[in-house]
Amino acid sequence: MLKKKFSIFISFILLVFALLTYQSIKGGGRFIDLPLYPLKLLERAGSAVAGGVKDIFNTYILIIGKEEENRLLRERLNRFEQEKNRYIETELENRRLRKILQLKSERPDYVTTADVFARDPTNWFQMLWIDKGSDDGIAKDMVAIASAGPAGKVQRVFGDTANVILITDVNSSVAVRLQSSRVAGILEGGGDNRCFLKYVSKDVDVKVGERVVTSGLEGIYPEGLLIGYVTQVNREGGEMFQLIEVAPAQDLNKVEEVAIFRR
Amino acid sequence: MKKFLLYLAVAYLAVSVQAVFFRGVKPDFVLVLVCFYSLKHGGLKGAGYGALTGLLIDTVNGFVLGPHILGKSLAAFLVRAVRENIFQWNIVINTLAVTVLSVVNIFIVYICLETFAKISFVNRPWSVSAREVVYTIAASLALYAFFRPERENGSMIQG
Repeated sequence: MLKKKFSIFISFILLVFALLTYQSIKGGGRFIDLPLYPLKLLERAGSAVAGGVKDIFNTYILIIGKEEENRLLRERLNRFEQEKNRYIETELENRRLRKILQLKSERPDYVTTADVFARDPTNWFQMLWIDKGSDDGIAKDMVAIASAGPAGKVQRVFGDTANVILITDVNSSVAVRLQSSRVAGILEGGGDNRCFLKYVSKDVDVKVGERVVTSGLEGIYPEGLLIGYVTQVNREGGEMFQLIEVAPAQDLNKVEEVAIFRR
Repeated sequence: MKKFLLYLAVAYLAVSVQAVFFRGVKPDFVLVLVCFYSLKHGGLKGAGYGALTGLLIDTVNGFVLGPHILGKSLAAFLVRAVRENIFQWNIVINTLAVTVLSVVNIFIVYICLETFAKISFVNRPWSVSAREVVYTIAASLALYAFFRPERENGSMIQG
């Protein structure tokens, strides 16, 4: 019995291997984007529920057990607090959007602005799903820029969704230069929240805190955008180059919307 | 069939929660679900469930067929094979199994992505995988009370 089950399982594994090999040779196949739609809904529902819970907490939970004469005053106060929170949220959103709009007016290659609705569910890729796609003019290798700096580039595009591979992904490489010394290098993703600046000679004096900007040499990212700051420099070891750790200028865990630009 | 669909819906919810609400390193809720399902309903059914949930993860990752199909179905089959050779199943053994399978799953995904998708993970720090394993253990401990696979001892011998 166990032998039979084992044979069935091994056949299944072999079949999957064969299909993976076929897919690897043939290159991809048609991507099914259907499972992404409920993610969009979930993101919206989640935001609504979170907002509701926050409101309940602010308006109700905080006043339980207080004296009756304070209730009305506290309710008013809470209403004001809520309004204040809303203003703060709107103000923050406005600031982010204003920065994006500023980019839009400065750069003629602006395509559109999109909201982030999901991220990679595993820990293997650093990527975002955005709620706009080829219907809005987005194409592969376009650049996604958040309010504080470049987030990544568009990798796959569908009708109304696209995915953006972040600069922190291990497969991301961006041509950059150190702003003060003008030394060029390649910024590669570290697979977590860091990037590494590679191919900078050990002779170059790199300081912690130095700004790293895009050089535009790879023909994808526009030149001169602040992409991060040097956080650590390692000159030890027998290699020709130093290992420079860079923290992205934009906290990529907090990106909520991105502006898309042409190459 | 009803239970299978219910588990599938729960797995979909888990993938969605991981994709929408988690930032940074995430636990592998789906692996935990696959283990529980396989322990309760048998190795082959578990492998089928693992393959479908793996397909779901690969789809959300941007692939059609991907490494998670292999990783999750193998985890399901292995956890059941271990269960059939152990008289008693408790939270400690369950945690150990989830730990080992989580590591195995990470290796399978790593090898498949390097081989079939030709994506290099040489730069990826091992701390990310280590944290994933720790979070997955925590998820398995948290979910153990809800799924309790040792309750199904009678039916498990047949599966």
